[in-house]
Amino acid sequence: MAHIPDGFLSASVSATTLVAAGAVTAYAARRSQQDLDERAAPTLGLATAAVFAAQAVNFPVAAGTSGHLLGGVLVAVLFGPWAGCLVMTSVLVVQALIFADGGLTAIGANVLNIAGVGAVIGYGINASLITLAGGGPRRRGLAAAAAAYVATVLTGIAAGIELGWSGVAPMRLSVGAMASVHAVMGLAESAITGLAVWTLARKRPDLLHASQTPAPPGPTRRVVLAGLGGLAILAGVLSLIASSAPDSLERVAIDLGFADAATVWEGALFPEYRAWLPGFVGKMIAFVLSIALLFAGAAAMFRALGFAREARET
Amino acid sequence: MGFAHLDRYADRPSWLTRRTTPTQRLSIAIAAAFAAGLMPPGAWRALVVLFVLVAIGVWAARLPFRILTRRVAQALPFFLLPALALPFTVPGPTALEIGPLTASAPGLERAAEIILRATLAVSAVTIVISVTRATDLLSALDTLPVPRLVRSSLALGYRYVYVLTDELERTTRALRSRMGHASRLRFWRARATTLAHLFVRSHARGARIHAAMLSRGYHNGLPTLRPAVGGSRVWVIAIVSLLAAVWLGGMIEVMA
Repeated sequence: MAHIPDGFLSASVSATTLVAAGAVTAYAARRSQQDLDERAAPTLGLATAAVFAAQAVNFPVAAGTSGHLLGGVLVAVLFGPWAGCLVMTSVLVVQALIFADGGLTAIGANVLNIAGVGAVIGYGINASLITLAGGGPRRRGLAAAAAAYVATVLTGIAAGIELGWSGVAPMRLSVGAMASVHAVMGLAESAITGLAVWTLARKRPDLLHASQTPAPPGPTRRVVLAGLGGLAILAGVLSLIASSAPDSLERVAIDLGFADAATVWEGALFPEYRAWLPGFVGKMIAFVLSIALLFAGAAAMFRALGFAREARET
Repeated sequence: MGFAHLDRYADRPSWLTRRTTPTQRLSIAIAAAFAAGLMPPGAWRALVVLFVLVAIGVWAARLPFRILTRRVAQALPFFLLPALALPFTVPGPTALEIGPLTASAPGLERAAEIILRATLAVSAVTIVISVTRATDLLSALDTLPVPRLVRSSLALGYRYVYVLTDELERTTRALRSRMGHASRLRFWRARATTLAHLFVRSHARGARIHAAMLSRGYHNGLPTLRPAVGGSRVWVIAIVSLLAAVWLGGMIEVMA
């Protein structure tokens, strides 16, 4: 479902995403040529073949259905974000041409969603989680699993935005539907990616992309924490803008991601504030708090699991 | 996701394969897919013209209709399922009710039209892909604006996907014979390990291939043994401009 077929995108969305995807692919090609120099062609070629072989392996889910690996975060963890992006682009070209999985007119959008968001942003999430929580095999696996889940949902949201923008369905509906479908699909992707990275980190840690070394507590970790804090504040500010400009595109994207959580917190935590605080301040506090709590909850779970397993292993 | 069927109908003599090189064929297919995929909603007359053009394409490629329908049917779920949601999401007067769901008339029209457009786009690409060898297709990408690294990944990926699939099958067989009655969790873990193993092996193989390529004088770029010959530029320009005209006609039809 992640692949948008022909006929769903409008001409303007198709053209815009094609140009953007072209720019991303050109940059990714330059960066991976730099990173891998002359080994680039065989390494990426074999990685592309491996992703195709891996996608043929079915994982039984329930009631006769099965899922397979998409692989964006896995290749990014192995070969770096830009090489991973390029591998996924090659896979998408073959899928569009030969298997008609994803349309040719939507190839730009699919490259942006699956190679751009899926591999590059997934890698970023994975790297910052490792910086925060350390780099033992279990924690690397958990970080990859978390990154794969978030990246899959973000891929779905991106596809939903493009579909909504094309006028196929109301934005709220398309983003919501794609996000919820991918929230389910992401579970399998996350489990497979996490297990595979865990194995790789134990058996062949030298194969994992070099820049994913955990930073010692200190400046880098502070930078990452500051980045996450900044993200929460940004979300708060955006929610403020969103509530004052209800019809904008951003509003819907933010609303669907965070509004429900925020409404719950607003109701639960600030029933009395509403009386005397201006409405937007209460809303802003609720947003920042809900995002901070989400992050804290994820981090706490992550640390607890990571520490427990690490202790048992040694 | 099998690859073995790819070249079965390639190289059959036909009007299309005689008159066009793989690159030209691929350009026509891409033009047709864009004309169909980006046709504005409601341009029914232009879609009918496009349908006729694609039907002529089937005849020109001498692709058995049975094969085309089978290959298009395999791609059907990719666009049929999302399209079937449309009648229930597009607002408008109710056309029919299925249980708690109400399908709107404009929604039904939109779904029918998207399915037709997607079928036409997929058919156009399938026709050309079916009558062209995969290796020719890869060298056709050289003349299109695809980054060199993507092209070489695709070329090497095509050469080794069979090797890696076989290797994975052997590991999977070994896995099955060792854990027949394992619980689902253990099975998942084992299969994920197999996948990790696949990447480890392909990495090692990549290093070996690189050494072998260097010893054969590799310096960026894979040669092709079958240079494209023949082809007539006039026909390709004519067909592509015809497709562009149909798309423009569709735009005018909607605006009028």
